[in-house]
Amino acid sequence: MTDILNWIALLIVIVTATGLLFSRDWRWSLGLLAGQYLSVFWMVQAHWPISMAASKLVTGWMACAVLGIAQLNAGRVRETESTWLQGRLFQIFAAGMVLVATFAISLRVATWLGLSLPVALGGLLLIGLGLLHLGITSDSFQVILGLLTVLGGFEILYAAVESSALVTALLVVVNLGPAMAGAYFANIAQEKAS
Amino acid sequence: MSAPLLWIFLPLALAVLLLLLNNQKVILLAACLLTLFLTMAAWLLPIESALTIGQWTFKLSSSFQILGRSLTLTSADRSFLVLIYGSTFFWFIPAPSLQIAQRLLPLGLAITSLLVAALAVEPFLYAALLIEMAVLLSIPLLMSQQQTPSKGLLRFLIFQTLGVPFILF
Repeated sequence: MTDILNWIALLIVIVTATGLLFSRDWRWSLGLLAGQYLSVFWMVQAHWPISMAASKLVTGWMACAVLGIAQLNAGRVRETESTWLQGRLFQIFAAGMVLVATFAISLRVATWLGLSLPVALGGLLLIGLGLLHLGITSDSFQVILGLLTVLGGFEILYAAVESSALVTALLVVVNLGPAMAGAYFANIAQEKAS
Repeated sequence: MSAPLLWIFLPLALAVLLLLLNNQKVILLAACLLTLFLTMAAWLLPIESALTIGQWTFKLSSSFQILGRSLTLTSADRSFLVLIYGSTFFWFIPAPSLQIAQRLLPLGLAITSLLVAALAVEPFLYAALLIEMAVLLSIPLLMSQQQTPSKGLLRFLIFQTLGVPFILF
């Protein structure tokens, strides 16, 4: 049963991380990010107690809320970027390449870290697609989404090797930090526009 | 009293307080006095050995336990602390003339204490997370209030954040 749920979580990771890459509407992006954190939580709880793993979910959703409130205030500024179609074909091709590369190395990583295959795949996919996201955008909001995606993937893999409370607490701050920075960037953009 | 409490948590707490203030002179005075005090304390106070002043006896312990891990500052780190807080003190002095005291002093104090914490944390591996926190705090210092974030700033944030997993693994 747990294995089936892990594969479902992996499916959610694929959909949300790929969706984040293509989405230009911040509402959709934050919805996908929130869904992504649900998968991260599920994959982390395979190695951590559920109460500690829940911190990932709460932190992720707090980050989404912070970014959402900031974007809501800066809504007018961002509307101009909602019809961005340039390079969509390249993005699809690059995302496909990342998916294939991830599938190719996931078995070895799963054996190395002692993870189940869907969990290793999920972590690697998030890192790969997050890096791709960071590589093809210069928009501050998209950069923050990319960073949070990479960190989410890393946390899935790192949960297998480290379960310290201090690291969990520090990772919470490190996850909320980019969200705060994103909110700060949005606030500056709004002030400049007004 | 422990050394990490004095050289890490005290400046961090003051930084949070200073962020709430508006008066530049008060911020400057508080930040400069604290950094000068911490410099002198690092120079004069021994760690893990008793110091007697009149009837009072003080002893600074070197370790502070937090969430199952420890922050440790030994006597060997005292010269480093003098250098760090001494140079912070001299950086802070001209801040009001540049009209950046309100942001530079509280954030600078917090960044300094986080970097000292990065030196003190054991195992050293966790320093990556503290350095990342310092990087995130430095973002408001690196951009002006009138400009959208530059590509350089975004690259700085990306590369520093990507460095964390590489150090932790």
